[in-house]
Amino acid sequence: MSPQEAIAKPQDGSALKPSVSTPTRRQYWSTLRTMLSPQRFSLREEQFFLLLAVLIGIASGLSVVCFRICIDFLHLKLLGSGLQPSVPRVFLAPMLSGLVIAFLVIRFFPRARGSGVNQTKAALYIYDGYIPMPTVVGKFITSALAIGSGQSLGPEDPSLQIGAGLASALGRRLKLSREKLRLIAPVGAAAGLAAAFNAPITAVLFVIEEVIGRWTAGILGAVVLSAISSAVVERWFLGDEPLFRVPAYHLEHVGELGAYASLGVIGGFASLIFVKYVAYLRPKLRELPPWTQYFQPAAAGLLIGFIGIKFPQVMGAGYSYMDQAMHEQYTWQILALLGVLKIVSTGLSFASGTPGGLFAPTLFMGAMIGGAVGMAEHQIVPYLAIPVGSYALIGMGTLFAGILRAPMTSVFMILEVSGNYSIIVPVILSNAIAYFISRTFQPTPIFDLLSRQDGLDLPSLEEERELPLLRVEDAMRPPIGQDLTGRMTVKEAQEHVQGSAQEFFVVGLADDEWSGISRTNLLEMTPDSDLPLSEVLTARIPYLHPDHPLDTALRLIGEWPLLPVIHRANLRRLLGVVSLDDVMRAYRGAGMGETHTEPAPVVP
Amino acid sequence: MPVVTDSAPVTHRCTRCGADFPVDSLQCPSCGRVAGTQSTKIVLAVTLLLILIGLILTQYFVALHKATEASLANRWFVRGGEAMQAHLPDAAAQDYRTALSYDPENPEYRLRLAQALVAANRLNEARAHLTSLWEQAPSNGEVNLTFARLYARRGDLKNAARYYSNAINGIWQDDPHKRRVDIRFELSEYLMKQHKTTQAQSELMALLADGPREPADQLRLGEMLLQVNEPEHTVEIDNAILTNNPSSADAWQQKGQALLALDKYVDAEQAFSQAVEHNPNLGDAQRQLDLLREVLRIDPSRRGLSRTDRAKRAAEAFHTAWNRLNSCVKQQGVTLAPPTSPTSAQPSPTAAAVVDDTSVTPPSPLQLLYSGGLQKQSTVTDTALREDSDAIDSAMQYAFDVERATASVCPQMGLSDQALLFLAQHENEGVK
Repeated sequence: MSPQEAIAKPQDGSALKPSVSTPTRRQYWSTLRTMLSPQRFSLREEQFFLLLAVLIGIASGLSVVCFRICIDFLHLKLLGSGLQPSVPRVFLAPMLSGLVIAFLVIRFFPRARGSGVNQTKAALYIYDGYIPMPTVVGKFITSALAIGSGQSLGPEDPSLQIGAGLASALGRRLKLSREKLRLIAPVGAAAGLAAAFNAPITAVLFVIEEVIGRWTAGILGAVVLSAISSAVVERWFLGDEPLFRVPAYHLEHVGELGAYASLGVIGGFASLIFVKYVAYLRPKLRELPPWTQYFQPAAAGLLIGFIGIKFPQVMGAGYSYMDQAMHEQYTWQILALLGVLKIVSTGLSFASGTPGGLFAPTLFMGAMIGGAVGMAEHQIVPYLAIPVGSYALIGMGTLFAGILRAPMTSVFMILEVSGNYSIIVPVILSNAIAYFISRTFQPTPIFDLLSRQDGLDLPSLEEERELPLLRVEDAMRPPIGQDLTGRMTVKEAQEHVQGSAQEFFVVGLADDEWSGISRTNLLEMTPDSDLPLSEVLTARIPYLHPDHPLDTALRLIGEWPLLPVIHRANLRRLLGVVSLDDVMRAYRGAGMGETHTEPAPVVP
Repeated sequence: MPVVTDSAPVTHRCTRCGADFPVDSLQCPSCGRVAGTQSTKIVLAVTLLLILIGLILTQYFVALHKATEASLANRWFVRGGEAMQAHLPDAAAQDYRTALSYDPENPEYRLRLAQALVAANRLNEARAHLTSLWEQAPSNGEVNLTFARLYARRGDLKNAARYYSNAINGIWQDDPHKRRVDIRFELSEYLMKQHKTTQAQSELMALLADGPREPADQLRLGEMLLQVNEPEHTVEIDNAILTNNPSSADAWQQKGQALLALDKYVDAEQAFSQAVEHNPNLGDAQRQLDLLREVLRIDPSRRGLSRTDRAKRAAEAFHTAWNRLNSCVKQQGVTLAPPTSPTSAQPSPTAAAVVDDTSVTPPSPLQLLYSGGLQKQSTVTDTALREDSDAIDSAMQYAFDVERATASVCPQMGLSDQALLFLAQHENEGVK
């Protein structure tokens, strides 16, 4: 009987009188304490990391909710409640805010400059996951002021950095190992982005594509958990409405894909223009005397104010206007003009060093250009029944793929914000074309370009993808002369290798195991032994498959002169052997631009 | 760069397995347990506490923010309503759009915005919002109605009729019967404007079957039925109204018009008489009554008349028309010289078409009528007409021709002339 049962069912009504068979209250509490003891609930480091990911997600979600409210509050106070702010406000708000922002950034928060993506990446690769807390605070204040006052920037990238900064701070306080501290910043970054975008999948993919740079199982769980926790918090407070109200869309005819392909081409070149423009303007502004940096955000604000008098849509993140573009509330001429003006104003804001993100402006440009293309196509080909909203939506993904060069993220982002999976084919087509155009004419992606302008050389997933992946099959050589089996006796083996010039032999044993022996050692064994090699050779040699990355061979080869390369479907079938020299030769060959190298000459 | 330091002892002892491990390692190398040092526990506890405080503060800020947004949304919504009332649909659309930006999920705001856009003739924008609303609530009556009005403005009869029909069958929150009746009226009017009389008739018949309850609506239905040539049903409706309210002057007047359309002059005269009796201010009814009385007084084809009375009325009609012709030609300054062509003796104005092309100036219809009248004048007497019923018809035909010919040239006419013109217009239908 368990202690609980003993208390619940007292005998003879003597509930308060402990008997020999009934546990006492003290025993009960003792059992309970044992059950709830910290030892019982002690966590392995991986589990602890996942728990931290949840906490980081919640904290980031809360911060991002406050960040968004802060932006709205500042917008209301600085630009008023109407969609068309008054002229004095349009002029003064971004300009005066620009002065304040420049002062704060230069004097107090120098690392708050820029979008936040590269800063997070730098924390990961250069600073062991370290993001100072003042940077987080500075990013929050200056970005909110910039976006709220109408600078043409978005809140997503700063949210990413805020999340990463909170995670980094928590990791430091918990004295996590250097390895974990490095990994925790992307966990926070995913959380921040997920909350800002209300799109956890997009956030996870972006962090993996752009910040971490590779798929690693060790961190994926934590990134996903933090993104989900953060999105849940954001939805809890701000509701679970999608970012955009997207009109229903179904691909009616394959011919419609042609229309989307044209959007991909136009979007690709628009992306290219934006990237080139930022890449040109940013260093030019930085070359100006240092004192001008106090006035650059204000000057950008003033110019944006000029634009905003007639086209207030370009000010701020502009999500509501994207929604309007999707609902055909502008003519195609206005949409095209808004797209161009957004390119101009975002370039100005960003290049001037005003803290703020590129996500929302990219989506804005995409929505406007997509809508313009859609409406123009409707006029040229009236029988095309594609809603303009679909063009605007796909335009967002297209510009995202073209500018930020995160192709997977761009596709999933559109699916996530639209909730419409029938749009996937046009999205992939258009994004792929824009990505191709952008990559052809601008080989370095924008974030890498910006980091290099800042003097940092951060790894790029896109560039890493370009490197050919070497596999074992590129280095292995045929198993000529490798005929020893575990069933052979020592004597047979010695006779077998007598005339061979090979120095080392891999030996296939029973049970799909492999061993190896050098020629010298084999010949030194007692020749009259009838023992089979399988009993003599106790050491086991690791084996490879032809499709293994060559890196695996390096890791496994250790002190062995040769490793067997065997068939995946028949683990006793030797396909070849690989030595350290073979591996190094293959790497050297790849370094000289050869994709495949000739194996070393085989000595019979 | 952060410096990860700890002021704790050099090693930890794992609480699970008892193994010692370095203090800078969070994890026990023997059993993998996370070393819950005192500082770790404190940090976690503080983190949880901060998150809790953050939750409370965020909740407070969010509530404040939402309240502000709701207030702003409402303020802009009210402004939009005022702009709509002032017939400024563009300004209203801007206001509603601002309201919507603060509360994007509010279907009421979106619907009003769509209605303002329809009113401002910005149909593409309106359609996008309506599509969005329709996807959420395809059976919403008001959304369908706005859609119908949008397509009606676009001249897309098919879609307009479809959405009107959806609206009629849709869901209405308040007084659904009244709303459906109103929409069917609107649809019927739209169809009538598009000259789709048959479709309009079926809609009105549907209204008749599930009739409007308000007398004003019933009168409206009667009026529309009259317009689509269904006077019998108008009479039915008016009788229904008069059963409940016998003193409804409007119903009496409408019934009179329906009876007139049915050529039941006597009944119509009684109906108009009732209308005027119950509301002497009904000018139209009074005019119609006077006209009908005159018609009944001068009409020679009225049943029950003796041959003498018939002849007398025909002669009077002829002389009325003759006087009208004389007065009209005087007003117009037409020369009344008798035509030289023998064919000009034909009294009918249609005869002008066969006037010899060789004549210098073809005679005008009034001249032809005049010359015809001169020839007939001596033969159109009570006595002569009493003897010859064909002469009655000829005299009446002449009178009708004169009234028709002069109606457009000399619009001012006396009651007798109006009555004659009325009879001319109904000459093929006969008096009931």
